[in-house]
Amino acid sequence: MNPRKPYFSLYELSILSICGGLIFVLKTAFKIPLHLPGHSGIFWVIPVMFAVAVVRKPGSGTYVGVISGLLTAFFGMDPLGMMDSITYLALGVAVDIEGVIFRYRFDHPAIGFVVGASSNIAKMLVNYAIQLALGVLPVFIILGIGITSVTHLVFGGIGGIIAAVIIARLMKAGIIAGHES
Amino acid sequence: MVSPAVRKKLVIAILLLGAFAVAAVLMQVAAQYLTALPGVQGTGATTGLEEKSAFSAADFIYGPQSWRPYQTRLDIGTVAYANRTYVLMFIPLNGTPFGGNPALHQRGSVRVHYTFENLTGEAAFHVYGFRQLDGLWVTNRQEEFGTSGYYVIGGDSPAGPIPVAASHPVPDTYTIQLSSGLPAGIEGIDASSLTFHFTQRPGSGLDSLHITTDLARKKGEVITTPLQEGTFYVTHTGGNPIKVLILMVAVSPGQPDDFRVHLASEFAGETS
Repeated sequence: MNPRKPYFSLYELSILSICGGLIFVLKTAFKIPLHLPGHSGIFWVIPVMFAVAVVRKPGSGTYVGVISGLLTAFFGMDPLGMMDSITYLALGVAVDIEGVIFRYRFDHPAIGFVVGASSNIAKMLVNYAIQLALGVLPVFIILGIGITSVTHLVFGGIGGIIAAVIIARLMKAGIIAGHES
Repeated sequence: MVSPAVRKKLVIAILLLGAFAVAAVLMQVAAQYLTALPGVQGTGATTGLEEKSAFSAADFIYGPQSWRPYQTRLDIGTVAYANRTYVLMFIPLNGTPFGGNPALHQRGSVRVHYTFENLTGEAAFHVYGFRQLDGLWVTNRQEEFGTSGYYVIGGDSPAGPIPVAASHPVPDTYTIQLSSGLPAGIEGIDASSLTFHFTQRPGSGLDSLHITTDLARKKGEVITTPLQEGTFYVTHTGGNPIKVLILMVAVSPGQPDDFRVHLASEFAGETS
């Protein structure tokens, strides 16, 4: 009897785990004093999009989100502890869904912008949902949602474009598999 | 190049993102217009303290105690006099200090003017701020690098010791009663049961609010003065906007009947 083939190969699991850990490392190492909400999206969308572009399987983004969320929660990087891991899960799920929608064409800058921006916004929305659940008054959230949404969109979009350029270069060099023509 | 099907999805996705951002901005603008919270426009022109600006010993409803609320209790007195006990009151200030990126909004502080009459012992000022984005409270740092606070030395020692039966410390739930009404325009907060919630990350929430007399030193300082009338500023250096600012005033227990403290506060520009 042949053993059941795992959904992710060892190589794919390694890539996904390294990228999940990289998000945690980037968040720890890069402290950008911009004082704008969502600015960290400029660098953390890159590992997620890269991992999903390499593995090209539904669930790969979710896996990266789980790894980065658990690491961030266990090391106490964010104020809400374990609840914050849900926000990272949300961004992974968002990238997963968009990978299917756009057929994993993350090497295209416009698609990179859309994926980066929307996944950063998904993280923001889940963060707001957690705050509401914890008893924060809706008026305080609404009073900040305009600027916050725009900054999440812009920074996530820029990170997505950077990811797309990196992925395109790696595909052109033959390091990772290109899209089906 | 991408296939026509993907291109069509891409256009739809960009339109949806743009519509979401526009809707969010419109929602925020509408909410700011409807609620007109203090400090949103950078003016802080509210009328909170004007409802009550003179306070007597009866307004100091908490204590005697040597600590004030934070995730772990903080001393009210300076490091050298950490065991001193005080009676406390909490009052909302007009306006909120703004730090952060000057390209996004006006930065500024809140100016507090005080006048004591017949103060005996010592008085201390500390501040608490309600952060808009996560609903947690922050306060000025009490120990180690970056401390700030304001202390006023009064006359001779206050009257005799307070009987134990009169003790009314801040409850462990940190649900406090304000000694003055909230500024107009702050909707949805029950002033009769205001509860301080702090982040559980050790040391967090102590480095954004500061007390200073010199706006060139935004990170604040510990000031001890014998002046019974004076002015200090509450500054903000964090990125998370403060939406409600509470001043904690502590005085030595046993103040005389003719003891009074007069307080006035207003939003002040960055260079005021």
